[in-house]
Amino acid sequence: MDENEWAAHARHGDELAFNQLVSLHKRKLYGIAYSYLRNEADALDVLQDSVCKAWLKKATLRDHDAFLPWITRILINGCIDDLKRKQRVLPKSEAGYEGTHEMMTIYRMDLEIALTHLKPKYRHVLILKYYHDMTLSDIAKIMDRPEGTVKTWLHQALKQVKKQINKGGAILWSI
Amino acid sequence: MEHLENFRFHEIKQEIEAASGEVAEDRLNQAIAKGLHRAKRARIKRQIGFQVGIMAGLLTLSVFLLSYWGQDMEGWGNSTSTSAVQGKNTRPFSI
Repeated sequence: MDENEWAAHARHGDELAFNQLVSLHKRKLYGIAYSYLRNEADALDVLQDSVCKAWLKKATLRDHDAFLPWITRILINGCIDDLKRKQRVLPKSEAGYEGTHEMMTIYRMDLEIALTHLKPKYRHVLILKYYHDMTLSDIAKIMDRPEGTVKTWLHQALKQVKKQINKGGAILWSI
Repeated sequence: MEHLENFRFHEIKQEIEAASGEVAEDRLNQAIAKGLHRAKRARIKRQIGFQVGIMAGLLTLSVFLLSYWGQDMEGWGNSTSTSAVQGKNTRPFSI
C-alpha cells in the first residue's frame, strides 16, 4: 500500500493506516517540533498532542496527497500554542559550548534572537526552509499559501534577519 | 539577496538533526500510541456526553410536559393572564 492509500484509509477511520503514516514521518515531525521547542520532552508532548488532534480531525483531510503538510500544520500550531502557554523565549542559553565554539555560539545566538523578532509567518518559512530543507512548494502546502507568497516571505524574512543582526552589532558573515 | 550559506543556519540545523537522530525509536512510538489512545478516549467521552445531554434534554422536556398537562387550568401559570381570568382554555391543543 502506498502513502495515498494509507491516507485514504486513515481518513475513513483505519487506525492501522493512520499509525503507519505517522510512523513513516515520525522523525521529521519530531524534528520540526524540536526546532520550535528545543526540548525533547516538550517536542514529544506536542507530537503526541498533534497525533491526537489529527486523529480526531481526520475527516478534514480532503487531499490524500497532502497528509504530511496537513499534520505538519497541526504540529506547528501545537508548537506555537505550547510556546505561548509557557511564555517561553526561543533562544536558549547553552552552557555546553566552550573554547573554539564560543564564536559560533555568539553567531548562533544572534541568529536565534533575530528569529524571535520576526513575524511568525517569516519564522516558519525560515525554520522549514533552512532547518528542514523543505522546498518552497512544500512550505506553501504546509502554510496553505501560494508559492509566490512564500517566496516573498522568505525574501522578507532574510532581509529582516540581516537587519536585526546588523542592528545587534554582531558580525553577520562567516569567517 | 546575498548568499544564504553565510548565515549560520546550518549550525542550528545540525543540532536539530542530531536531536532527531538521538531520540529513541520507542519514545517516538510511545508518543504516537499515547496520542492515538487519547484521541480514542476523547471521542468516547464526547459520545457519552452527547448521549447524556440528549437524555437529560428528553427528561426535562417530559417533566415539563407532564407537569403542564397534569395541572388544572386555574392553577397553572400566571393566574392574572387575561385568558385565565376570562376562563378561556389556553392550552395549545387538547389530548
